[in-house]
Amino acid sequence: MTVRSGTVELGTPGQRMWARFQRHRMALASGAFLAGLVVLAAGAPALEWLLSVDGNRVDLYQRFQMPSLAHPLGTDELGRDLLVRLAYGGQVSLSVALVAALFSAVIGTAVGLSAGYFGGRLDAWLMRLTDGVIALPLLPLLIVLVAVDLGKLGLPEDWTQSADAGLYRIIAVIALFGWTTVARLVRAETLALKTRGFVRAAEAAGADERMIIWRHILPNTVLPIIVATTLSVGNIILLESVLSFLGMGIQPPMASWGNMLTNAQDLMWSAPQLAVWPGAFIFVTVIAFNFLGDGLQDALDPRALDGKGDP
Amino acid sequence: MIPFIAGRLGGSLAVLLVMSFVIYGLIGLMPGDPIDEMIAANPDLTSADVARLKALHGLDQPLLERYGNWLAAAAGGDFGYSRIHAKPVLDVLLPHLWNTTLLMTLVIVLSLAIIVFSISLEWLPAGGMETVGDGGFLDRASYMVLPVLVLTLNTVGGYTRFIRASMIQTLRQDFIRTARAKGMSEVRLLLGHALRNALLPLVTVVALSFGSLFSGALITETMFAWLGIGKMIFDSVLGNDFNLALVGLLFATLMTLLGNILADAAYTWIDPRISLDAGVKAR
Repeated sequence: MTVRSGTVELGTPGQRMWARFQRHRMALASGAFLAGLVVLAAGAPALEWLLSVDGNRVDLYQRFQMPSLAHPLGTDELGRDLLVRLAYGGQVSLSVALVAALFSAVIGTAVGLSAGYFGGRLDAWLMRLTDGVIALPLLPLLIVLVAVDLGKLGLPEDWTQSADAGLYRIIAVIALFGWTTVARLVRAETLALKTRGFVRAAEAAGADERMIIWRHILPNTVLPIIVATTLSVGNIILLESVLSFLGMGIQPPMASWGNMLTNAQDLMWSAPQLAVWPGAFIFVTVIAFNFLGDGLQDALDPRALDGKGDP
Repeated sequence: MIPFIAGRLGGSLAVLLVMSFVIYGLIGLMPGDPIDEMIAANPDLTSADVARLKALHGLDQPLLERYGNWLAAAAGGDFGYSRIHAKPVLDVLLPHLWNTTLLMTLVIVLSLAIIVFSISLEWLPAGGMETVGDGGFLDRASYMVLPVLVLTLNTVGGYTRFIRASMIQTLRQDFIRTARAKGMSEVRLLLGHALRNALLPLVTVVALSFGSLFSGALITETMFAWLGIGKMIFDSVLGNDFNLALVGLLFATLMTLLGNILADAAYTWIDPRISLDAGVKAR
């Protein structure tokens, strides 16, 4: 496996991964773009200070300003600085997507590991559940789930009314449906690993189940999990944007790229930049995560290349 | 084949039943209840009236009992009244269903046409969608251009990737090499032999997307104010129209499940190498 397309790969596994990743130009560019995006999002308060504007302050005298030194991208329909709003929106969209993807990965790994390792009836039930979740009409269900009155679930009133509740709710709802890909992947991987010599040897040496799962199986499923999770981040950003755009996700005044588009739709003709910028950010970010996932796949999981090679 | 489909239908029915309970519970968790909505519209109601009304409509009963009542009524074809439309739920559902079907059929036909005519044959996209019909339809068609375009572009991407993967696999096979060895022209080889076989699995994808398109067009329908199922579900959730939201969601679930069965059945019908009764899953 060290010889690929005529070149000999040398060095530690880490160096070889990095070399393979570098060959994927688009993934490199996407990684750089996403790093820049993270800096922009994390630096939103600094940006506010630098431009001496307040991202949430409504100033109707400053509506629809053209780009200027004070407002590099102009202002929106309420006179708020567009660039600062985009940065804060990026904070929300990125953190929702990353946290939701992480939770999905954890749920999926737990389901996949237990289904694959313990097998039998548990496997059958868990996989039927997974198939069932995949078969559900996702978007309509998400909309109902997002509309659920948290007060009726017995959660304290002051918490359900806070702005953060919307954030946690959307993360929970997306994680609830997003785990299926990872679950299937981990199950398949676990089934294969279970029969491998080193797992058999560990069993023979008297290692208990917990030891085998944690020390031998889980570490070997990590790479495909990373790839699948990266690829899912793009989809989650889209889902969050859609829900926020429909007015059911992140609630204003908290900015998210999706809810910035809600008002922009009506102002499409008079102020197209309000739709173009958030739209472009969503578009490029989603594509970047997909490229990054592809690149990581090539780098971390070279077996998957062309579907060739032995496991 | 028949026992397989019967089995799948039975299984789907069970899933649908479970989902109806889950969705019923979820809808119950949406803000307010139908009587609260009435109070909001009529401030003259006293709290005694409210309690009486809630008792009358069974809203004071526990969830399981309410669900049982709903299920019994639904089994008899009574899905209740839509609050925002002030009509029986089925009377709202059916026109929306027709609108969505119109949109979906065009989208699927168009995306397949684009793939076959412009991508596979490299012709120009076939002359638009001026389907011959009466004046009323043409007028409607002008409103459909944009939503259909959006959904089509969306669908074409997925189909194209799928056909690409399928073509690559097919072109590796022995009968392609044999055909080449016999000196068959490349065009005939690609279209007559490879594409025909590569399209087989696409049937599954199309059948699958048929189910999900019924609910998945929610965003497009909302954006373009196209009164289909997706927009109906969205509006009913926003407008606290419990009965309509419930039936809409169940319907979307039903379509997805039927789409899955259709996909499996279509696959065996087209590709005789696969036998469903032997327990081989198409996906």
